[in-house]
Amino acid sequence: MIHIMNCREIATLLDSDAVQHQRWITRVQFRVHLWTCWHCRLLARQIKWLGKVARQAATAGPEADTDFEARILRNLSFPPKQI
Amino acid sequence: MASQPLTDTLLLNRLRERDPETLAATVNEHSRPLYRAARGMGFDQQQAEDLVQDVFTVFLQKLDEFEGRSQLRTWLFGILHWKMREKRRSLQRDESYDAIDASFAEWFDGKGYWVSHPEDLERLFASKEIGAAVEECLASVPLQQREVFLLREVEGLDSKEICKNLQISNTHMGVLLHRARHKLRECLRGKGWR
Repeated sequence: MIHIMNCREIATLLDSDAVQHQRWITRVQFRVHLWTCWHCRLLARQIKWLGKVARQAATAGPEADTDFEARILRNLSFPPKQI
Repeated sequence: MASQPLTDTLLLNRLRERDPETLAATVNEHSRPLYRAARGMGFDQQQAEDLVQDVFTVFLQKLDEFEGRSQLRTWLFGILHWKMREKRRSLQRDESYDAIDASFAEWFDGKGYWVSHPEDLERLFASKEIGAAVEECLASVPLQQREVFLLREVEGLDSKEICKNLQISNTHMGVLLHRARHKLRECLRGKGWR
C-alpha cells in the first residue's frame, strides 16, 4: 500500500532540501502534494524568500575595507620556489 | 594576468610554481566571501579578517597536499570551518537537545496537516526592515545550523560541498538546515513577521 504523505512530511522535506535524495515514488508524491496543497506551496515560497533576504542582508552588511586583500597578501609568506 | 578565469588545476600548478600574481588573484577572488561567511557566523571585523588570514596561511602550507578532488572554493571554506571551530569552542552546545521538534509539531494536527498555516510573505518581504529582522534572527540560530544555512543560501554551496566541508552526513545536514529554517521562521513570527 502506498503511504500518502501529509503536510508535515512535505514541510520536513522542503526545509531539509532532501527531495532529490528520495525514491522516485516519494518525489512524485511530493510534486502532486505541492500541486494540490496551497499551504505547502506557501511554505516553499517562504523558504525561497528567506534565502533571498538572507543573501541580500549578507551582501548589504559591513564589507571589509578596500585595503583588505592587500593586507592579507602582505601577511602571507610566499617565498620563491627553491630550484 | 590571464583574462579568462583559471581552472583550479591550472591555478594550483601556478601556485606551486610560486607565482605571486596567481596568489593575488586567488586572494582577490575568495577572501571576501570567506570574510562574509565569518561575519555571518558572528565574528567581529578583526576576528573575521584574522580568520581569512589564517585560511590563506593554511592554504599555502597545505598546497602540496591538495589533490584537487574538491573545488578550491570548497577546500577554502573547509579550512574556514575548522578555523572558526578552533576559535569558538562552544560549538558543542549546538549538538545538545533543542525544542525544535516540539515547536515544529505544533504547526500540524495529529494527522500531520497544517493547523497554523504559513503566510504569504512576499508582501511583507518587500519591506526594508525585513533584512535587519532576518539578520537579528539568524544571530539567534545555533552556530552549526547557522553555518549550514549560510553556506547553502548565501554562498550557494551544494549539499555535497557542505557535507564535505563540515564533515557531516547528508541526513545530518538536512536536519541542521531544517532546524535553522524553522528557527528563523519562529523568530520572525515572534517579531510579528507572519
